[in-house]
Amino acid sequence: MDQAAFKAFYQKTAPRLRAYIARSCGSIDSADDILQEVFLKFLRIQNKMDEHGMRAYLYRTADSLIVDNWRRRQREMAGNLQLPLRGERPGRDMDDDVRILFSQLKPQQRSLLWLAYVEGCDHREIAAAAGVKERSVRVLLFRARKALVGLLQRAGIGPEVA
Amino acid sequence: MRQWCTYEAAVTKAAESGLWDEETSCHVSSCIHCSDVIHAAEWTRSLAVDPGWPPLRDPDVLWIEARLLSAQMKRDRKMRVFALLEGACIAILSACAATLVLIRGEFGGLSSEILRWMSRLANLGPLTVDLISTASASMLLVILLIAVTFLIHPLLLEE
Repeated sequence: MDQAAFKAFYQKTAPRLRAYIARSCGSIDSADDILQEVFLKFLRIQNKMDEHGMRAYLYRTADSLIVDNWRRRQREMAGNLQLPLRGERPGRDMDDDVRILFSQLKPQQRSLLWLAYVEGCDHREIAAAAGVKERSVRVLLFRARKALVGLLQRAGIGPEVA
Repeated sequence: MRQWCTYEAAVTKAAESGLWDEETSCHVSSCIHCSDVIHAAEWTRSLAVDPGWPPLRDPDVLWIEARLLSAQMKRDRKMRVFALLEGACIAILSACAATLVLIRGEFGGLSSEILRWMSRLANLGPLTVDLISTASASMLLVILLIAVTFLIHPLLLEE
């Protein structure tokens, strides 16, 4: 991949990937750092992957770095004896309700919903990016959707229950 | 409740594009599964909208940074070889110095033992006989090791 191709790929994929990371880790500053690390890793290992493969790689790497970031923050907070792990203030950040709702989903559920509805991936691509079997995607996506709709209903922003 | 609906793909596509045909929209009004799909899809998609975050980092800068990191990693790998070589040279030189001390000192037993080992080595072939028996070759080896160590050391320090 040459510089121009990378630039085009970055401009196409980075905004949504960054939004995903920011919504998952709850901080735009952390999201920018993670995004940068994801793309640096991508540039280091890039081989002959097609665009779907590259996108799957980016999301897999981002997921793993989000978990690392979460662990690191927990360690730091435990070290600083700052108790409110969940209600931490993420600095200059996003709407708390949205962030908290999204963070209440399991990491895999967040990833599945995002890949399906934001990236518009099919089940094969979702399986590759989320590291699950293709035939499990339908069930996992169903559970993720139910979890999200349940959360939205409890928050009073879900569809009316019949 | 069933975990899938035959309309799911069509509903997801229509929700994404906003183009609804009559059949799909009729179906959605009576299918809880598809109504959940629309709701989940719309809400998740709303998260992707930039709420006014700072601009993304420049891809050209990232590209250059990746090149620099890659070059640095290559250099680090080479430097590791040099560091190992330096370590090996120092170890061999230390062994030589220790042997010299033993031979020159009063440790007759030990030095004769070492000489016995060396003569065993010498029995391995004519090349080793020449190398071990010739004092000048040994000196040359020691000088070479010292030279290599002195050449590598500043290189590592510079890094």
